[in-house]
Amino acid sequence: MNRFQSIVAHHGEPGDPVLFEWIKHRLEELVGIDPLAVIVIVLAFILVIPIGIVTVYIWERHHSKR
Amino acid sequence: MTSDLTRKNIRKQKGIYYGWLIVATSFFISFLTVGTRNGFGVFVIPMSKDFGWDRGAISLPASIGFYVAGICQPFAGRLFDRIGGRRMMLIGLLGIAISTLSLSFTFNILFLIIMFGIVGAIASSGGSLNIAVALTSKWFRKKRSTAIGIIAAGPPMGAMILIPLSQQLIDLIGWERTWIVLGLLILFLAVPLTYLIIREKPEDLGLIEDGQERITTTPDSSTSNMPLATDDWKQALRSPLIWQLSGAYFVCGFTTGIISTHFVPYAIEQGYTPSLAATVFGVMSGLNVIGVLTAGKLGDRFQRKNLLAIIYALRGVGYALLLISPGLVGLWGFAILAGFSWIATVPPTTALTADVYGLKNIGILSGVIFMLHQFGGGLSIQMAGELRDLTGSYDVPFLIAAVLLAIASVVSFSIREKKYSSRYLIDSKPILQTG
Repeated sequence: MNRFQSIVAHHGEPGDPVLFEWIKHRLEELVGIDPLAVIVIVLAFILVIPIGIVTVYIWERHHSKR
Repeated sequence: MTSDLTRKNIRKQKGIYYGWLIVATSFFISFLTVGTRNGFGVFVIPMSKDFGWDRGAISLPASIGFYVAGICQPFAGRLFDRIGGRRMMLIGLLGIAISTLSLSFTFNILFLIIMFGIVGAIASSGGSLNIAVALTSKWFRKKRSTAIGIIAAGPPMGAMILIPLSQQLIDLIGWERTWIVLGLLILFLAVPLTYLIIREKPEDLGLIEDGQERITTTPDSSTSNMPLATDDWKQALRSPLIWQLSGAYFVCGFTTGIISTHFVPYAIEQGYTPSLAATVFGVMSGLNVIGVLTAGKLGDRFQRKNLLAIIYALRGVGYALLLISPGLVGLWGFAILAGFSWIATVPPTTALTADVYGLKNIGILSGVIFMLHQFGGGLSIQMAGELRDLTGSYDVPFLIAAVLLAIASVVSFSIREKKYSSRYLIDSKPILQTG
């Protein structure tokens, strides 16, 4: 890495890959299930948030019209 | 006789105040977008392997993006004040989605720099935490800090959930398709949700802040009692208070920048295993969420400047602990204090800015403050590394951090909140409009 890069990049890693790798293994140890299942669960969790917001929005709209 | 509008409002108060839907949507946006961008680190190894880039080269897009996002904040804030948060968020989210999707076509480093470091960073200013909290400030007055605290919990939660998700996806389907999945999540979840839910201000729906019943005089629309509220944002920059807040926030960025980059290497240098260092860092990251939610809630109960002073002081004690007690006690003590205080400064700082300067220029003023925070972070990361190489330890950068935090605490405490804040200047008792 040249001097300019070292200043702009200011550190070797934008995120610590060793740490991320460790988090991944830790997660696998803790959850103890197939990586695909982890992906499905996390994606489902992400989906729940907007679905919940829209449900409340529709519910409130419906009730305010009555 | 009660007017039609007022009757409609009173009926609406029975349900959930619409502002909380704004908060939930803003939380989700910051959760998804910041989580996606902060997960860049997990792409480093697979992309480096495929293209034969060294780590310095692949760090460049993230570093450039860090500064570009910081520089763009005041401009994004100014645009927010002119065209509104809804349009800003939609444009920003579309930009983030397109740039994220395009990363799957990365074929050389220049493409990555342009799409992630420049296009993505500019777009992320539109869908940034700064814009979300500025918009939310218009929906809340009494519960402003609480609302901002919930939104500010989005980025750390996004990082906790989306980074491991990205890692798993890369292993399963490769980095190219992982970028596509992340881009599609933003495009098909965040964009439609923003279009459906986000509204500019409560008055657009016939409501007022905090979901109170309609009153004859809307407190925040009347800024005549607020000595520093102005239509001209440049005038606001001439008042010392904005620099008290900005200076302290610069220190916040400076001291969190050191934590995010140098804490794990420091712990390993002290003789701890990478696993323990990562565990301590993980606990610290988890405490971010609890800290910011607590700070948000407390910010609505006490003087925000006192809370800020305490947060900076606590972080300063954390750094002092690392210097005085470099063993496990110091390490865990720092992790707890720094973890709680890491993002906890966001609710009191942003809420205080809105309280003092009003809502007309909240976008640009928050943008200026946030830009200084980013610069503080960038400067400290570089400086701490240089000083570590020069002196052979992190003692000097940690000492600088502790001293700066002590100064930031005193500066925050010296803010004359009761003299300038709308919380103390305007009678907030609602008077029912009876038509």
